[in-house]
Amino acid sequence: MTAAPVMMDEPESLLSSIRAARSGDSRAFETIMLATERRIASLAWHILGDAEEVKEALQETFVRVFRHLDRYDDQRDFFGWLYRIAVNVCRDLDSRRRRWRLFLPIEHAAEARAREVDFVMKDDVARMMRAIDQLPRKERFAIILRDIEELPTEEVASILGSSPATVRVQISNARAKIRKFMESGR
Amino acid sequence: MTDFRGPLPLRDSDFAEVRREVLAKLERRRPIAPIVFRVALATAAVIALVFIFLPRPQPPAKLPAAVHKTVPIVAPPAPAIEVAQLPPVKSSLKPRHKAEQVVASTGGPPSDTDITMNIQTADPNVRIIWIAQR
Repeated sequence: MTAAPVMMDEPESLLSSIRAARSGDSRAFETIMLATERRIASLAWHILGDAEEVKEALQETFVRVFRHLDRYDDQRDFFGWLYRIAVNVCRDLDSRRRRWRLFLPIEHAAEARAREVDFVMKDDVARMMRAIDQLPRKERFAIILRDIEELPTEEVASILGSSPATVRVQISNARAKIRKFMESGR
Repeated sequence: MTDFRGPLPLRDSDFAEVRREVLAKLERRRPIAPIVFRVALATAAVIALVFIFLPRPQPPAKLPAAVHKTVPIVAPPAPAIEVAQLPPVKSSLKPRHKAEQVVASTGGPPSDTDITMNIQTADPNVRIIWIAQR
């Protein structure tokens, strides 16, 4: 808890922390969290767009990482594996949020929508956010990982459990929809 | 595009809180497994010891071999042949076939030319009556 933030650019130091954490060293696991938390939080923020949900996603991701650390193959990219878990956690949270939205009282839903519309009309960035949030989930995740997190298509495909060709199609569709949405607002 | 949601709204204290929560969660989970494992192991050891050292009830002493010798069940020896000494069989049952009818119809003592053999089998319900001419 008192550990100072550390930058771990060297994969070897990260690997040694992973090995130590596997054998139950909680300090080593804290080091892993310090080295990865901002990237995971950024991903969760882009997907979820809510600070409280980002904290929840971050916490759940690290719990799952610790639980499944034995399954991680040292030969593969740790961040790819970590992103896959984080995307799954965000997907679960996103599903839960959509379920809850169905049960919102009508007046609350209308109020929320009015607020959102007002917010959307403020500027292009907000409109872009709105456009991305309206995409189907697979396209949304693909474009966030590819265009916002700037991961290579192959890695996005690996994280989402799809083929690179599928991801390319999803990204292309998503871009077209975003463009259409942006043009319709002008 | 990379900044479409704006800067990350979490501060260092938020990250620290998340780490603290995660570690607390992991600590709460971790001790359970070894404790359960140890208790299970100890219980298994105690059960094994009890099975090994507990005096077992002795099996009942074997009876002498002679007792166990099977006694052949022999049908009581049927009276060899009773020649015309038994009273005629009076059956209340309806005769079922001809031979019995013959016996039933003889009624009185057999004639001098007939030999009646009355054989009692092991089954008290079965009696063989053989009538032949001398």
